[in-house]
Amino acid sequence: MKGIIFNLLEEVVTDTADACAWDNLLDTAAVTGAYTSLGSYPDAELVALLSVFSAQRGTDLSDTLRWFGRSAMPVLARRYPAFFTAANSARDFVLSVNSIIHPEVRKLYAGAGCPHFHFSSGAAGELLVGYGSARQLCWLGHGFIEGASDHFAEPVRIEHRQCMHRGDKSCVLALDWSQQ
Amino acid sequence: MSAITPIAATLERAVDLTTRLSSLERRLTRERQARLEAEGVAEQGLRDLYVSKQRLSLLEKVAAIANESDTATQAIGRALAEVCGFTGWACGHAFVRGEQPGTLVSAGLTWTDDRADLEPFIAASTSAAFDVGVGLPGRALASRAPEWIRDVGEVSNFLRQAVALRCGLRAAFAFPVMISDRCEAVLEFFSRECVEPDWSLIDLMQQVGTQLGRVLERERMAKRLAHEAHHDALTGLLNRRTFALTLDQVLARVGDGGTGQIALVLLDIDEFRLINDMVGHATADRLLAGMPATIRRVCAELRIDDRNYHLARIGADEFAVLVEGERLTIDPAHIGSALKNGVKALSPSGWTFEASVCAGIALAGRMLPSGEEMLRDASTALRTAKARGRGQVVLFDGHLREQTRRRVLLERDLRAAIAAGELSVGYQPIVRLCDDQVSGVEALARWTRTGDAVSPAEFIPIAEETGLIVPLGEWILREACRTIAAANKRRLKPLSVSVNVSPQQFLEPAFGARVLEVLRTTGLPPKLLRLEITESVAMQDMARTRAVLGDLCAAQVRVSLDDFGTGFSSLNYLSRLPVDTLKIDRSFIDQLAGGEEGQAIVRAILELGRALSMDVIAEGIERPGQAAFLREHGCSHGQGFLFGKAMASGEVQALADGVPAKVGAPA
Repeated sequence: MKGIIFNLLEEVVTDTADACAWDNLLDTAAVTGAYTSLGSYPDAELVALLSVFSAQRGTDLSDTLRWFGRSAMPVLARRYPAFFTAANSARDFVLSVNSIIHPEVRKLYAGAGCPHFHFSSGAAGELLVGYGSARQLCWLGHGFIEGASDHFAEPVRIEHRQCMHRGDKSCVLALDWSQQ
Repeated sequence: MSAITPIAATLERAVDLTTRLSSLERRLTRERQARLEAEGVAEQGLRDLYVSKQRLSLLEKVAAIANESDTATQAIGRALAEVCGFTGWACGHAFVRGEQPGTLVSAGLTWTDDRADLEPFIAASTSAAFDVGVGLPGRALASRAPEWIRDVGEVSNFLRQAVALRCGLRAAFAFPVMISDRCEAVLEFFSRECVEPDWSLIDLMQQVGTQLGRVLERERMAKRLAHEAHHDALTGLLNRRTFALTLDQVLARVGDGGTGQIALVLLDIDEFRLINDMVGHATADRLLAGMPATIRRVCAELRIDDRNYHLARIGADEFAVLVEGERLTIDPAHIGSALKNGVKALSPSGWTFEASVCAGIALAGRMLPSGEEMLRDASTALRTAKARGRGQVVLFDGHLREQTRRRVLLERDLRAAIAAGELSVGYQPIVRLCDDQVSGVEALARWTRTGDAVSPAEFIPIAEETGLIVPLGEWILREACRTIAAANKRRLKPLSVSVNVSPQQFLEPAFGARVLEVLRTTGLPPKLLRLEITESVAMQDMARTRAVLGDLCAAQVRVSLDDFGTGFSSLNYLSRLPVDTLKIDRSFIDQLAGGEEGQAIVRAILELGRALSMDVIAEGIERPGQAAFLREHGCSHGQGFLFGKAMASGEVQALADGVPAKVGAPA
């Protein structure tokens, strides 16, 4: 996992609680904690941090991932404003992940294993997002989408039509911004 | 005091710790900020490096494409895919220069990421043509620089706007493919998003354009070389080699069940070498360059469809026309008339003569000849035409075939006769007309074949064509010098001897030296040898002719100009060459009895001789009246049957001093 994800987690935890909370989390999860945005670190360290944080919050891991994704979006908007200004809506932003955001990620991380999202149109203007990473981080994606929708002030309804956690081969998230 | 002191100390430590903690927190914040900034710098460096590597990779790929592709079309097609892959843009299309100047038409080369989706736009692009400055490709053609459109919906000069927007295309850029400073093609690309101009990308695309331009240039050069390998540079016609292949192909096609007839016409400009010398190479080249159009006009006049013939330049001044047709009507007289009218128009004003051509024609009969045979027959007909004079047209027919056969046999026998020493030299007396005294002789080749004398008019041209004339000429020279030197030993008044020099013999590199060597070894004084050269010998290479004759004259060898008046009779070269004798051709002597005109020509030549202080020898005197006329008008010497036929070597040696020639001797 790329260091930027650990940095984002640090920021949202610190923003939510304080710096000590992050230090406690590191100590409890027994990880080194020296993460630079350009480094790569074991996935297990992120899982350990999120698991400990879930236990501390009293929620399950999927909820923590969703919270993390949603909370990280304002931080990303501060660090990478160009991605957000190029899009006119949350839908535009989500659609730009494959063609704009991930190519940019690959510029920083040669050989980064970015997931590829399969976009298609669902009923009544829904956007269907297919996702099939072995990391099974669909709830993190869910949170990112909510965070993006917050950024554009466009409430979204997200439904997991298929989910690898339920035994499906891949995840399909149905996004609906028509409720605003 | 003692109780207060520890509390104060404790408070002081607490304040100190708070201060240190605050300091550490600020330090942590600074360190954190420094880390973020360092990461930012590193990220930017990585991004720049990535972009730079990608661009380098694209240029490497395009360079490899440029090197590997067999055609420009292949290279451009692959480059479209690479550029789309690099930019992530939706599609690319190529335009090339149209046949109309200043236009671009689709090259039919497209790359798309989603063909079905973009089909309407691709169809519109493929059928579009653009003038200079019109539309995106036209703008690149006009500016010869990359053009960028942020959003095709925002501009007016984009002809395919509606269909592009319907297909979801927004940004566009185009760049020219240049050869030197000329735009030869334009490549355009479209994105589904609006994109601001990216100048580093534009710069990169210019480099791609340069690479593709090299492929176009290479292809064009290869085409030009291939064309030059098959065509004549001056006239643009097929060259000899390609024409021969074309002839073979046409014959094969007709032989393969075709019903058409084939005629091969070879054309040769009369006296082209002389024209070159007289008017210079540049003007002569213009005449040659004008021949294709002239031949086409003549073909049109002869109602030969321009789809039914092939033209070629197969020699310096030789052209070939291969005509195909269902029912060809070959009328040499008609062809000759059309050629005469057509070619004389090529003579620029101010020329003293009309340009003309001779033509030789061969027809492919039922028994189809090979291309080589047809060329040979047409060449024979052409050679025959040229022998007949200017502007002649000869068809290779049964008669000519028989003549050719006879000639081949004659050539075979002539070779054998020369090798066996069966030729001899005859000596025709040249007399002083004032007293009919024999002053010299002309050495003439004699050949008796199976008991019959063969006319020199028949075998000398064969010797000239086959190159046998060079050894034969030298043998006659040596034999004549030896005979006359021996004869003079018994004479008070020495005889001179005239020996004909053929053009090929004269062109031999050591001709002058060989003559002097013959004189040395035979002991004949140089002033008794008169070399007879024709106008065509004299004019082949004026500078060389002057040099060679100059050396011989310095050694006192005399030079006479043979057949004067029958060729161009240029006074220019006559005054520039060291010639001391003019020979009046027998054709003028024949005309003496015909009236004033014939006499006027002879008088003029005699007057010219006097004016240039030259001796004049009249040839072909057969009647006393002719001799009287010549004598009366001051002609110093004459020869002909009136004064005696050619003598054998022994007769010359027995010729006594002071005895007049037997006027009226039988021919």
